Amino acid sequence: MRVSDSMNYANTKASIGKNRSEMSELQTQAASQKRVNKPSDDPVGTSKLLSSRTDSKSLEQYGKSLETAQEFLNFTDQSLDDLTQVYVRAKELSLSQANDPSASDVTRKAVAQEVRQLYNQAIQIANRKLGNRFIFGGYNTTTKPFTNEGVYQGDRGDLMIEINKGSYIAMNMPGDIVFLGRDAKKSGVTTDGSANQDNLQELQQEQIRKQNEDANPELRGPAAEESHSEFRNEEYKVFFEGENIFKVLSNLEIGLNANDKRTVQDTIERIDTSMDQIVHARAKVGSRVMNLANTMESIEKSKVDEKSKQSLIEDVDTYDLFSKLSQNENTLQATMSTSAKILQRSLLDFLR
Amino acid sequence: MSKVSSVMNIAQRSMMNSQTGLQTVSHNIANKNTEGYSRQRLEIQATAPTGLGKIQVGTGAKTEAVTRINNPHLEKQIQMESSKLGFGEGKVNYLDRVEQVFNEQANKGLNHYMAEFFNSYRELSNYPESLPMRTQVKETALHLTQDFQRVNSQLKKIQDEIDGEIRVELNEVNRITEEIADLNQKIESVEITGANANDHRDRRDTLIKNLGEKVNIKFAEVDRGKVNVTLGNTVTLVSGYENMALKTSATPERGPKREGNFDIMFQMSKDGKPFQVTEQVKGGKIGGMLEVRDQLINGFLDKVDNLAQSLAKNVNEVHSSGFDQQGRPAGNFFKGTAGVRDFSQYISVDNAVQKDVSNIATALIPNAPADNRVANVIAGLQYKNVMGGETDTLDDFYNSMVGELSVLSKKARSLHEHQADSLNQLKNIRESLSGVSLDEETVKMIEYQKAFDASARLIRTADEMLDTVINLKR
Repeated sequence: MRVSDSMNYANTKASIGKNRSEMSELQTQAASQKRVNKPSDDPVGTSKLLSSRTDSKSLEQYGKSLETAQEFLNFTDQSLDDLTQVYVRAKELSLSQANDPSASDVTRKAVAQEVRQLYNQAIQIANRKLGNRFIFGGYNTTTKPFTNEGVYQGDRGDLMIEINKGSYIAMNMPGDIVFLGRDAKKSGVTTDGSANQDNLQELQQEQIRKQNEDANPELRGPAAEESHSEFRNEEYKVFFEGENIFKVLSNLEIGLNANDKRTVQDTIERIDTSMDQIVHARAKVGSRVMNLANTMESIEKSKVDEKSKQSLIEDVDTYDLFSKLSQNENTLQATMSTSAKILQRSLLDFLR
Repeated sequence: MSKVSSVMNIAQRSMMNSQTGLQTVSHNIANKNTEGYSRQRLEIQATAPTGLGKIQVGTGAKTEAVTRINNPHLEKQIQMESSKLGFGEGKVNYLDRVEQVFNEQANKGLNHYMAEFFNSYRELSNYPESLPMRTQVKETALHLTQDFQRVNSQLKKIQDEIDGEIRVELNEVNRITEEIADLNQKIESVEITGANANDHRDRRDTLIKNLGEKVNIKFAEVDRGKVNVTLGNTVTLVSGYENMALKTSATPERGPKREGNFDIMFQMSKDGKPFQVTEQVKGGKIGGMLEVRDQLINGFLDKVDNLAQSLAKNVNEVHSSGFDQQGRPAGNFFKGTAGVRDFSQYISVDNAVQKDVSNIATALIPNAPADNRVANVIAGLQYKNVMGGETDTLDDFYNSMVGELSVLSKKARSLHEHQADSLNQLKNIRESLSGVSLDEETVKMIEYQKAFDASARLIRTADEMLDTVINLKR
């Protein structure tokens, strides 16, 4: 083959250029410690990377939401525990005042004072705040949910928190459930999240259904048969199936003040149902806390999974990179030294 | 009968031949680095012998022609390949730039800001009563809309830059066609005498190659060495001694072309009406740049507009059916334009929300401070299939767009590299044939020098012989 000078130069230029550009590519990777520095470095990987980053960010947020919900629910649980103590004491007192041998109108008057205190305590608990928010007000978190007379001013709102992709949990317990006994006789199925929380139409329909229910309460099961719904919440025009636990205490106080043994005796049973009602609510809260703990675990695991997925796609394999770098360096050196030898020589050097 | 004077004649011609040879050697050496130069060779022929009965005596040599060593077929192949290379180059350079607009390896982009926006709404849904959280939502939404605007303006800026470069390249095209027309004339006037217009032809070959790198051309040699060049199907750039210029002008929107981008105009004659030939430019660097400008960037702009519009539409739909912090029915969250086109340029957060964050809706019913149902629905839009006939989420749509772009860019780059390699190979073959080798020229130089020396010696010998003859009488 005939070799002209410009061929030599062009070839030298081309091969050094190629080596140099490979070298600079590797250098970029070494400097950034990333294998993917622009989308076209790995098109498939880039798409995966982008969606994985979005998921990572979502998981981060779910973790934060979860902690918010956990704090809220734990505080609710604590409050319900305190509330149980109130009714344990009320039961003790009513038991001690239920029979004539151990009690008299004097002791009953004195105990009535304590029951009043218990009542106030119950109201205080019902109006508890976490940060700036009343925890038992449903959606109405900025005003006191209960008046001193025990009238509910909140609503039935469940504060649904997204704790994982598409999975929501109610972080609050509306006060009418705990204190007024809404839904107490409903079968075990809870109403939480019956509508898809990310579907506006379903939520709107659910809202309309709830409002209709509030306007025309449906009486079910034993509540309807016994029709013992003594506690009519005028504010909401709802007949609740459970106990109004404030009424239980104020009835007890009235009974004690009036030295009415029968009322006191009746109240014992109703304190038991009140306690059942609180325990039931606590159980719900407890199961949610448990759910949160489980979700937290799986979120933490997913976070790690996503991170390692991203690392696998975009991070550089250091050993591989450095072996490539030194290989490239050798090639470049070889090219340069052979080029230098070839380009120097010409027949003219030998003519004197 | 042989004559001493004929020896002198032969030697003199031979010296002239050697000089011509040396001049050609020096011309070759001087043009060693000239682009597109083909080495030249002396074609020396023996002159007709004179006959003396049975004896035929040679009468020396004459220079028949100076020819260039060149393979026209190879040149044509190189021209075609460099046209493809030019196309790839125009594409790769600007695709690289487009890729940088969407490169989230180095900077934060739409993927990041979309996630931030939806997560801020999630956080607001945890604390619907909180003002700082509302402000946070507003801020992340502003970042998101600003990033839409950034993408839109950066893409359009690349289009502007392409427009600018197309103008420069077209000037170059016009300069080249003018020179080709000029060379047509020169070559004709040289070759009509029967000589070879070697250097002019080399120059013209190079110019045609350069022209082909810029636009898709066809060329053919017609009578008396003239070359006609056409672009596409109907655009005659060079015809004989004439060249017709291409111009640019901003014309209204058409097909894939957006308003404000340049069209390429062709003017047949001095006073003819220029007509638009943009669509005929499909090759070369300009063709590659046009493809990026009209097909690719406009395609991505459409997609980004689509994304911005879908986001705004879906968020607004939910937002405006909710209630704000004061229990009033909420308005829109985002604002934009009426149509889809350029939505990403105008998208922003609604004025009412910008002015007062309590106008952000979280609630499904009025006067329920902690009602977060609307906030939940809006946050949930992130994972809802709202794009492309309800098959993709906003993220899917964006990610697959970036994926598409990176595949295009990667493919274009590897094609371009491949093209460069195969062109290099062809150029090597050409240089191997037509390139100047110093070693070879040195050998030739010695060769001609020795011939020159020997011829001079012949003249001296003939001179001595003549002397001998003249001095016979003494």
